Amino acid sequence: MDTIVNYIDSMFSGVPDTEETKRLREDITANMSDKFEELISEGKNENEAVGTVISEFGNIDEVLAEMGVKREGKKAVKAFSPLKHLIKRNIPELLFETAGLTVLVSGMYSFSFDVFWTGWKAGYSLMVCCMVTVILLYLAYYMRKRTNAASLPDTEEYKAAIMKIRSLTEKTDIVWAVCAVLFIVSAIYALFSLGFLMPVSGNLMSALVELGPFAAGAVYVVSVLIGNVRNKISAALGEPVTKTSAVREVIRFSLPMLTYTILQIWIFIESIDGGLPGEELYAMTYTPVTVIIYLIALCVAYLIDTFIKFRKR
Amino acid sequence: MISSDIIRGYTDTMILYILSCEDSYGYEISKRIRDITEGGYVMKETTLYSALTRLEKNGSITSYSGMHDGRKRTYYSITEAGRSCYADKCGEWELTKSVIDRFIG
Repeated sequence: MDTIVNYIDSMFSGVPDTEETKRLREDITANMSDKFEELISEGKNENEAVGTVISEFGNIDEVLAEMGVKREGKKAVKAFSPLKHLIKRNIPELLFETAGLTVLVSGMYSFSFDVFWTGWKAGYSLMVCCMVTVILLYLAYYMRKRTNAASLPDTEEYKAAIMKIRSLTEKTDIVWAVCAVLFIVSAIYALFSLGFLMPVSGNLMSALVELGPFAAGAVYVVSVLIGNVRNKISAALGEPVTKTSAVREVIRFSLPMLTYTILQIWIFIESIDGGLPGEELYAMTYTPVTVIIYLIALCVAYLIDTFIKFRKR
Repeated sequence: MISSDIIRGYTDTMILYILSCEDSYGYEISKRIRDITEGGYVMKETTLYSALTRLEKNGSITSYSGMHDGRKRTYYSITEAGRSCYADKCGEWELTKSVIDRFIG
């Protein structure tokens, strides 16, 4: 119902406050609320009802013209931006996922560096802190009151606008994931060949090389964010999760992570041959193990999520 | 779905018909329209209110405040002028129908 009130507010923005317009607004609000309640009592869910009510609204300027009322200000009615509406409804979820991922990625990378700068104990502590933060974030996210993805009004312009946004994200999210992979490979390889993750001081080249993993992490986070926006749009359009879209999601999400893990394992094997001391070898396993734990935790969370959604039906 | 261009001339007529039976308020009117047309035509909110404004301005209907289900509502009531306007519209439709029918194969 809030969405409906917000919609009416945006429709009436810039409309001067007269007896007539006040009455119109009250009447329209009462009507839409009646319609909404009737749809709910017919068994529709809240999002469907909101969508139907909004789509049956029409064009307020038609009524204003009859009343001889003009909007104030230079701007005409502020268009109800589909992207803004979608993002607003999904911000908590998007924030949780992005924040969790960012923390984890930075944890992984900082660990790799810290273990060789300050000893593996400090690196390990930082890693654990990041993991705990991520786990808490995800728990908080899944425990909160769950709302469905925002449903969209059923008008054609709305749908067209939102599908355009989605097609834009379709083109880019795989690209971002692949870029993340390439970044990771080149960064790790460069670091490895420059002397096995030891901090190299002084020259620009080494600084750039050290930035590589961080850049890769940032690119990865962006790719996940874009993919998530696209998923929200698909959910809001009421499209079922198809096998291809699920596979695509898994690839996009895990490809950079897996690349990182594989490379770390490769480095680990190389360092066995290179005769690294036992303690440092042991420390090398943390990153791949952590990534695997993270992916397992995600699968579990996804399964719980699906189970809860299934039960709710 | 009926094209709104076609129906535009007769939204007033539909409302006058409904009010000629009894007084009513916004949502009830649009609901009756949907029921009478058996879902064939769903009038948009703004179309309804444009028509109601227009009809009130030309004196075909009047409005008063009422209560329904504990909510304040604006009720509409048809006037004598409204009834004669309705009769005119009915005649117009019969004429239109007979003209157009000649072209329907």
